Amino acid sequence: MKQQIMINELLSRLKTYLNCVCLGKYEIKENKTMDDLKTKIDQACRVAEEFTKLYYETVDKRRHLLSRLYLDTGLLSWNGNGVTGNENILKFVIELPTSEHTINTLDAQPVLESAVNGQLTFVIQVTGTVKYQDKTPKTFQQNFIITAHGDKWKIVSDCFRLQEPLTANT
Amino acid sequence: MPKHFNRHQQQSWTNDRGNERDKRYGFKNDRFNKKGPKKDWNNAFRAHLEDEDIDMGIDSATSSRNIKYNNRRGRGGGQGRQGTPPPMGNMRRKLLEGPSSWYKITLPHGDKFDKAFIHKSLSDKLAPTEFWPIAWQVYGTTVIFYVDDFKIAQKLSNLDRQITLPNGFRLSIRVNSGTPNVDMTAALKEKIKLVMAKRYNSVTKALDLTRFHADPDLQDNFCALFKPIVFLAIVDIIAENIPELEALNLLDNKIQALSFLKNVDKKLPNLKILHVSNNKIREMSQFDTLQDLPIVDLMLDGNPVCNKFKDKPKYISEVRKRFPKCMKLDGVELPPPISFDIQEEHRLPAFQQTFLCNSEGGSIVRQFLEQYFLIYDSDNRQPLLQAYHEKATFSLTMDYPYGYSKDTKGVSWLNWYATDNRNLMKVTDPNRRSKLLKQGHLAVVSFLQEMPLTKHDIHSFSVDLSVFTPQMLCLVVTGMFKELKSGHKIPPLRYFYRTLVIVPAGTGFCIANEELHVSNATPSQAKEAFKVTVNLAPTPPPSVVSSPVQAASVAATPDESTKQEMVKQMASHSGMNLEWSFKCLEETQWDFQRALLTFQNLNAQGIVPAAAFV
Repeated sequence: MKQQIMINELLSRLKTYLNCVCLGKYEIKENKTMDDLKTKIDQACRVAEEFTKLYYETVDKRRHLLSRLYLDTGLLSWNGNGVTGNENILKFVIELPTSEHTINTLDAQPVLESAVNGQLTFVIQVTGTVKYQDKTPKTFQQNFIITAHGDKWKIVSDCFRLQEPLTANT
Repeated sequence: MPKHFNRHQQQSWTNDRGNERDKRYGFKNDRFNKKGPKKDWNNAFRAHLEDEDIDMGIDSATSSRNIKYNNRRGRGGGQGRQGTPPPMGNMRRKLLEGPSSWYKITLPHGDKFDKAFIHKSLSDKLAPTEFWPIAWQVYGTTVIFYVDDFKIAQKLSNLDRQITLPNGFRLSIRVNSGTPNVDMTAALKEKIKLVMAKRYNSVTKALDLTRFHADPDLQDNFCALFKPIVFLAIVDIIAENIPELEALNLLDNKIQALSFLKNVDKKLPNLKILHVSNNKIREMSQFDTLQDLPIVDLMLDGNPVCNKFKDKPKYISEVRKRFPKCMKLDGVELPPPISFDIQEEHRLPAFQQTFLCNSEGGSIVRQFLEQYFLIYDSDNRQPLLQAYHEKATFSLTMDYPYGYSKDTKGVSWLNWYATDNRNLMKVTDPNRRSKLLKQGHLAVVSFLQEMPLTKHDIHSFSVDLSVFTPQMLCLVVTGMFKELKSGHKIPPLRYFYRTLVIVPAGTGFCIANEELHVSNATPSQAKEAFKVTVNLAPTPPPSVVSSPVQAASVAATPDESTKQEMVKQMASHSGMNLEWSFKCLEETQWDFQRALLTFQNLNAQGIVPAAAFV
C-alpha cells in the first residue's frame, strides 16, 4: 500500500515536472526573444547617445557636413517647413542662424521589426534648448528615425519643433 | 598745492551750480560736497570742448588760450585762471563759461522798471548784437532771465553798474551760469504744440525747430531742447500729432544728449532727414537711441563730436554704423556703402502648423488623431488597446520649458511624470532603460490608463507626417492639454510632443512605437489654448480608412503569442495562475477588459477558488 502511494506521488510529481518542462520549453523560447529585444533596446539607447552628440555638433559647428548624416531621400520638417533630399536639407539648414543646442532629455526605441522589414531602425526623441545667434534660448523638441544603411547610420526623417505659440512667426 | 586746490574748488563751484540746475531734484550743497571735485574734471573737459564754439566769436586770443588750457590739464596744476576768458573791461567778478552755455541774469531791484524799458536799455548798449531775454520772471524785487550766448552773458556782466537808471541808481547785473528747472505743465505743452504747428510744413512733412527756445511765442518760458523733459515732450507731441514727420531740423539748440530717448523708432517711424547742426553733442553714442530710424540725410556739423575724428572715412563709418541707409552727411552725398555678402542677420523660417510628406496621408492622420484623442480624453482609455500593436512600445520623457523651471513662481510641477521619465541622459542602467520602456499593448494601455485624465485642445495641434510608406507612417503631433483631477487647484496646462510610428493592421492602423514628451505650456502658448470653442468635430465623411477601434475588432481573435502575452498580463494583474488566467480570458472571448472586470467581480464576491491563486 505504502509503495503504491509513493508510486502515485512520484507519478504525480513526474507529471508536474513534465508539465513544467513543457511550459519551460516555451519559456526558454520566450526568454530568447525577450533577450533579443532587450539587446536591441540597449543598442538603440547607445546609438541614440552617440548619434545625438554627433548630430548637434555637426549642426552647431560643422554644418557643411550635415548632408552626410541623412539618407539621399531623407526628410526634414523644420517647424512645419518640409525639405526632402539630403542636399536640399543641407541648403536649408545652412541658411539658419548659427545655433547652439543643449540637450535636456533623450529617448530611443527600436522600431517594430515588421514595420521596417527587419531592417535595424530606431526612433530617437530629443528635447532641449537652442540659442540662435546668442539670443535667448528657445525650447525645442526633435524626433529622428535613423536606420542602418550599410555600415552607417542614416537619418530617414527628422522632425524639429520649437515650443512656441502657433501664431509666433519666428 | 593749496593754491591749486583753491582754484579747483572755486571753478567747480561755479560750474557745478550750472550743472546742478540741469537736474530737477537734488540737494545742492550735499551734491556739491560729495561730487564737486569729480564733476569739476568733467566740467573742465566740457568747457574745453565748448570752447570750440566760442572761438569763432573771439579773435586772436583763442589759439593761445587753447594751448594754455591743455597745458593746465596736462600738468594738473596751474596758477590763477588761465582757462577763463581774458578779462574784459572793469569786471569785479569774472564770468566762467558754463557747461550748458546758458546764463542766468539777475537784476536786483529790477522790478522798479518794466520789461520793455530794461530790455531796450540793455539792447542799446549791446547793439549791434541782438539780444532776447528768455523766461523773464520777477521774484519779489528781483528780475531773473536767461541768455543762451556766452558773449552776451559776458557783455551783460560788463554792464554791471554801467547804466544809470532814471531814479539815479545804477543798474546792477549779476551773471551766473545756469538754467532753471522746467515744469512741463499741460498749459506749457499746449503752448509748445501751437509753436510746433506754426513751424511745421505739412507739404514737405518737415518740422523746423531751429533755436526753438528763442521763438517769440515761447520766450516767456524756458523751453530749451537741451532739457530732456522738453525734448521728450516734443517727441511725444510729434508722435501724437504728426507721426508722418519725415524731416526734423534741430539746428542751434545746445542739445548735449539724446541718450535719454526711448522707442524713437516707434514714435518717429518715418524720419528720414535729421539736422542737428550747431549743437553740443560730444559722443557718437548719443545717437544710439536713434539708430533704428530710417535716416538718409544727416547734418551733424558744428557739434564737438565731429572734431573727434581725424579722418573722414572713420567719421562716415561711425555714422553709418548707426544709420546704414545714410546717403547724405553734412550736405555731402556719400558713396553707396559696400557691405559683405554674408548677411549677419538670419531670420528663422516662418512657423507652419502642418507638414504632410504625402497629401494622401492627411485624412488618415486627421481621423486617426480625432479618434485616438476622443478615447484618450475619456474616463476609460482601455479601448485604446486596439489602437496599439500587440508588440507596441511606449516611453515617456518630461522636462520644463526654458525659463519656466520648477522653481519659477506659478509653474505647475510635473512630478507625476518624473517616476516614468525615461530620460537616457540620466537613466544609464541598461536594465532600468529596458524596464522604463513599456512593452506590449497591454503594458502600454495599462500605463496610459494610469496617466492623469486629460482634455486636449485639438486646435492647438501641430502635425508632421514625416514618413508615409505602405509599411509604416511616422507622425509627430504637438499641442496642449489640460490635466484634470490630478490634485492641482487649477487644471495645469501642459504641452506635449508625441511621435507615433504607425503600421497598417487589418483595414485600419495601429501604433507600433510611441514616444511621448510632456512639458508645460509657456505663458505665451497658454494665451492661445482652448480659444476655439469646440463644436465636436463634424463627423468626417465615411472613408475607406477605418478607425483604430474598428481595425482591432477585425482582428477579434488574437493569435497564439498574443494569447500567451494576455495570459501573462492577466496573471500579473489578478494574481491568479496561468491556467486560471487562461480560463478567464477564454470565457470572455479574449477581451482583456471584460476578463479583468469579471475577475474583479467574482473575486470581490469570493467566488474565485483558492486553487486559482496557487
